[in-house]
Amino acid sequence: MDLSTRITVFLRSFSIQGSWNYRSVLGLGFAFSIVPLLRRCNLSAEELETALRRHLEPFNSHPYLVGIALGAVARMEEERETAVMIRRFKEAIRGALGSLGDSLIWGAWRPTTLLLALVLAWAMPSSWVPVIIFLIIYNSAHMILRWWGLRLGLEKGSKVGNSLENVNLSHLAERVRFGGTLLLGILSGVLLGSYLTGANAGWLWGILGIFGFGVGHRFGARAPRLSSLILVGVVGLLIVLRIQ
Amino acid sequence: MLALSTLGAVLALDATSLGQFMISRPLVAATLAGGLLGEPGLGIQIGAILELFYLSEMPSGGFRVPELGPASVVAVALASTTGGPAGVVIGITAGLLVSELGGLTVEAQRRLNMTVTASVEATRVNELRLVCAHLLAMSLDFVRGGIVTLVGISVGTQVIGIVADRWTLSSESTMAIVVVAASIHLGALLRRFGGWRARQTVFLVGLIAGIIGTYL
Repeated sequence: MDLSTRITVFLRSFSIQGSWNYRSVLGLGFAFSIVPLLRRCNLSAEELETALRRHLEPFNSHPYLVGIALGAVARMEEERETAVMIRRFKEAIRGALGSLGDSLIWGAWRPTTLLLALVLAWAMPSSWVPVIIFLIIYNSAHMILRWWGLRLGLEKGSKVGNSLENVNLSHLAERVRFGGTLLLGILSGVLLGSYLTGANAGWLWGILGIFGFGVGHRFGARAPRLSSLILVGVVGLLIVLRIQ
Repeated sequence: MLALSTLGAVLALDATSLGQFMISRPLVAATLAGGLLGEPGLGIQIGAILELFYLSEMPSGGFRVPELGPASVVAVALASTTGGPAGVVIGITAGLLVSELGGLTVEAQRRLNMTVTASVEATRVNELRLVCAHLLAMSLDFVRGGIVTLVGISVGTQVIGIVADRWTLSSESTMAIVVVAASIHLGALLRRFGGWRARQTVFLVGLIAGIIGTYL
């Protein structure tokens, strides 16, 4: 696959979620991204339409890892694999690409780089430096992951699943979470020292903060939404009561 | 208002439809909005606080997507208009509300996208119709983000007139309330990172370093 086609597909893959919907999820985005690769497969008009219709079918993946599927499917189309084989491959790979991406990116890399930026934002007088550092660090890994995925898919085709196991992205996520925990501790100490124990009746705020942390840890994902609504309620109440 | 709404529209695109470079995260979005208003310092303050409320969230399964970009722009705009501790708490509260309400418009658009994609499959599939449908869906997301931002600022500005002078707590107490609420999210994030039992040593090392850091 020539470099210009790869770059075209790479750029199109940034809009893979552009038409995200509850029925075909990334289907239309996947078809949109793979068109340049299909054009290279010397398909007749009928064959191209059949292939496009096939790739409009439901598909889902983490957006940063979708290049793995795009590259592998393009390779399979080029090698004139059957429609059944291509469909079966997409079914098999979508689960792994979703869970791996969620664990590594949404569950580890993003919160960890944000924690770093938050600690920097507290420590630095500048407003822009923490933001710029975050965008550079976060998106360096983002871009590398996208390009690596497309190249891996094009190279390995339908055997890309074995390569994914060898790379062991889960182990990488675990290391990132370890670093994230250290940063989370630092940020918690900063917030505790600066805004809670440092305020009037600091001991009370400190106890409330630690209690809140414990509630969040105890209930996990269910707690956050509730706490936002509690804050909105408390603020509304204080405004109404106009507490001095 | 036009600049802020356009920023909100661009940020809405980054959240899901195009790129996902994380400029739509509160920390970045609020600082950009603050920059537009000539107050990047207020922007990063509001953005950093709002970010605490979304650090532990993970978009998987039937998760409803909060609308973070436009909500952060609205939060900074209202905080800038109000000023002082009242501005901070009103901005944060508005940001949390707009994020939830904006999330409803994301769901509505995703249902609309089903119609857009179905129209492509209904007749002969050709590249042009496929590309147009995909770009149409993204354009709708762009316009939606702009509208959420515009409405959020407009409605918020009206509400400010009523409530702004009723918030009489000091800056310290205001920040303490907000940080206590945010601490729940930090606890949830520790659980996502592996939980207390597995991570207590590295967490406590960080905690002590952070506390020492505040007194240096």
